[in-house]
Amino acid sequence: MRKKELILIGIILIIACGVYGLNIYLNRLDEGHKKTVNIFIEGKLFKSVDIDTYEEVKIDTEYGKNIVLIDRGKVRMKEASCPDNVCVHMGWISKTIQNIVCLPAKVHVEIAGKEEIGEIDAVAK
Amino acid sequence: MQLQNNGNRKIKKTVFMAILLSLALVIGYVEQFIPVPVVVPGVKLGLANIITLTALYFLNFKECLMLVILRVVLTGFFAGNIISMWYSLSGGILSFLVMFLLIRLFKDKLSTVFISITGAFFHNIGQLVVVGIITKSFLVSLGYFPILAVSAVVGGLLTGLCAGKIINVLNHNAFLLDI
Repeated sequence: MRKKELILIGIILIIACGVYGLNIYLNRLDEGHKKTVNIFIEGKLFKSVDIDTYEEVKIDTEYGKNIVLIDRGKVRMKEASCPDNVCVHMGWISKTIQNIVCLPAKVHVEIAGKEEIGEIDAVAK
Repeated sequence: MQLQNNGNRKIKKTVFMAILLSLALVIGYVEQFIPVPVVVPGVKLGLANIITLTALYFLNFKECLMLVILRVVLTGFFAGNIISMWYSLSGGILSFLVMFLLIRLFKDKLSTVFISITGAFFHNIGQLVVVGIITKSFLVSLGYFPILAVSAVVGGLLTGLCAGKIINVLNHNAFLLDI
């Protein structure tokens, strides 16, 4: 392997590490807040669920069917109608930076660390 | 050499493209059964890129683009997954364009490994842009970026080495002398 390839690989790895660091930093910012699970369809908020509950959210749109399982602190895609099932194989997620995307169904699930606007407007201290 | 008229050349080219396309389809199909030890599912080696890269060295822009589109569309039909075909198409075309430019501008200065890694990297960027557009969330794409960038390096290295060997052999092949 020559020098040019090594430089290219180095640059890509440095960018990857930088973005990884940024992800961790963004995750840190959210830590300590109450976590909610937001389920989006085509980028629009479909449902917002407290992560510490147990709930199965069924989604049925023209793009496909999905079942999102929220189980006290963690979330996973339980079932999906798409053929590749990438989102199901993703497994459990529990951190704010993690998310599950099901492209065929245009569904994505993310964990938000900040409280929903309007849910609790003010807390007296 | 006088026997090899224009028509003959056309037939040779058609046969060459047909062979490349069928190879790409088979490689793309077999690839599903190669397990990749990565925590994020959906990551693959992108072995079909070997064929795209080979084609770029022997065919012109239009023919290569046709090959890429046909490969993605037919793989979509074979895998029975028409929807994710569109996501493959975005990555496939972006990486093809980048590799095409690199080859046309610096053909002799860059190795196939360099071009292949860059192509794989932009393939993943193309897909992340589509993910970002569909989920309307830049953060989702950002979360996937590091692992996809690393896998682009590994996959690109492998496919680049393979394509380099194939191109080397084809360069000395009498069948392709006048394509």
